Amino acid sequence: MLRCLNTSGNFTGNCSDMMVLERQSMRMKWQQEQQYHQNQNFYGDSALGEVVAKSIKPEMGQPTFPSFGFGSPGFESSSAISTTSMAAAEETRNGDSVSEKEKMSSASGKQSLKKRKFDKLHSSKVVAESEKKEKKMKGNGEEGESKITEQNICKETCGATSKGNSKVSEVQKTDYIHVRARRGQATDSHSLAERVRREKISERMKYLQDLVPGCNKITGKAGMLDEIINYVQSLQRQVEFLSMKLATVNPALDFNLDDLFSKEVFSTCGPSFASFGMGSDMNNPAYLLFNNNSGQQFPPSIPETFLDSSCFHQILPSSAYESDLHNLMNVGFDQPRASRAASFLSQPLTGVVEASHHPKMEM
Amino acid sequence: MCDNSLNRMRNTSSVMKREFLRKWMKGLGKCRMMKNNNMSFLERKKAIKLSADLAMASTRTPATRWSRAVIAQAASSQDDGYNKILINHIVGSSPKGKIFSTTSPSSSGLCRSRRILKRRHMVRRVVKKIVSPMVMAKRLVKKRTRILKSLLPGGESMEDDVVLIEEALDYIQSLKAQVEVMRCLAAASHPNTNSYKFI
Repeated sequence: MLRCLNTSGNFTGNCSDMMVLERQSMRMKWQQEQQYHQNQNFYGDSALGEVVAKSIKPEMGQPTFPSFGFGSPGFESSSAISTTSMAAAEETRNGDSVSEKEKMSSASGKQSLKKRKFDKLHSSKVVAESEKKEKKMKGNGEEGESKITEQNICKETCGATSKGNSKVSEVQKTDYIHVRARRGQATDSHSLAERVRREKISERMKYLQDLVPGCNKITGKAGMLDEIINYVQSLQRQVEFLSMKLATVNPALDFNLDDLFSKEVFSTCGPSFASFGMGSDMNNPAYLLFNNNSGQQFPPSIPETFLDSSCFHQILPSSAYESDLHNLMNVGFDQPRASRAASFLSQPLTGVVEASHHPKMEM
Repeated sequence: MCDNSLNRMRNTSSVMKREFLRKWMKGLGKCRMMKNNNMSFLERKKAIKLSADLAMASTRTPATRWSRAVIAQAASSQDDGYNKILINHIVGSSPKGKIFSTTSPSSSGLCRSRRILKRRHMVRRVVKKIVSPMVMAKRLVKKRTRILKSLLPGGESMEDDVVLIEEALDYIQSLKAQVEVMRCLAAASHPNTNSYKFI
């Protein structure tokens, strides 16, 4: 029994080497133990047991110590020591608590209780040893980590303190997530992989948000997926529709090189033919005036002006290209000549007046 | 429509567009040669769409799964000879055996059967108990993911969500380019509609 106590004293001596936080938690543990012992020693005394229970309930810390001492008036020696220990420094207090324990053990003559106490002390010794081992393993590890392990052990040994400690450990869990994952627990590795995966997905989703129009305001994965699905479907339908349209336009499937040329012009210029025409108008105000004058005179000049505008814009003036486009225009403009002429006449004017309405017209 | 980001994207994808157009024209030329100009409207439409899809896929082939799936699908469709010739013509240098082998009917059948099983299971679960909102949200996301998978070519084989979304990104981008090119071509060869747009 005494030897056991000695070892525990050594343990407290070792404790002085540890950090302040650890010491504090150690002290807390000692106090807890003492309370436990008192509870066991005076098991028959119901009133005192209640007091002790109360002192345990509101977190252990320092306030419990005096209350405990106050709550055991029948036990003069221990109470006296406890009050002195309050005034003393931390290390000495630990020592006092040990001595106090000795006295208590001597006072209580029942062997069964001694046995219990022995078991308890033994368990505490084991805990201390395991802690030391962990410290050795980590070397000079992070303070937070050692704290966590300590708290885990505290949780294991004293169930009553779990309430306050769990809060602290949860806070630290959020702070030191990667540290905890590094400890190599299976669940942690899984959760880590899962987290990385989720981050990847959300990153891609952000890209998709940029890509898909009207997806910026939507938060939530389901809504975004909805939007993406709609967009993909609409694009696929557009491809379908456009291929149908091309099939109707070109019965012989003869998209030749001039088409290719013009197409390249358009693709660099804008998404649609309409915006292309308007853009060229807006880019060349001087040319607009010319277009105004010539356009009002006679319709046949319109394809030329159109061509010129594209040449202005693109700097690809080849004679073959011009003639081909000319032909294309003529072929295309065969039936709705009058309406087209009217539209082309009105176009420069609207271009001048409503230059700011460009996006709307494009739509 | 005239956002800066869109403009930027247009510039970055202009190379892709040019490549796509070149291949598409090649494919269309081949179509015309093979069918000898006597095609019905539906045939023409089909040929145009197929050649456009294949051209787009072949511009993106080595990088993405959906493009390989498109080519494989075209290869395994009914009128094999014609499609294969077209694929060889458009895709060209890529190793044929590899592409064709990506279609494994057994695996697709397996997928289908698994899906059916899952659906049955889900129905039973829905009947059984009331679900929490968390589970409900997860189920919604799952359902949409399934739909997206069905929309993407070759999406059935993409188990991973990350891969699926990456593929969706690429697919949307290339579809966009394809649509723009096709629209431009349609507009160029059919200017009447444009003149109507102006009014």
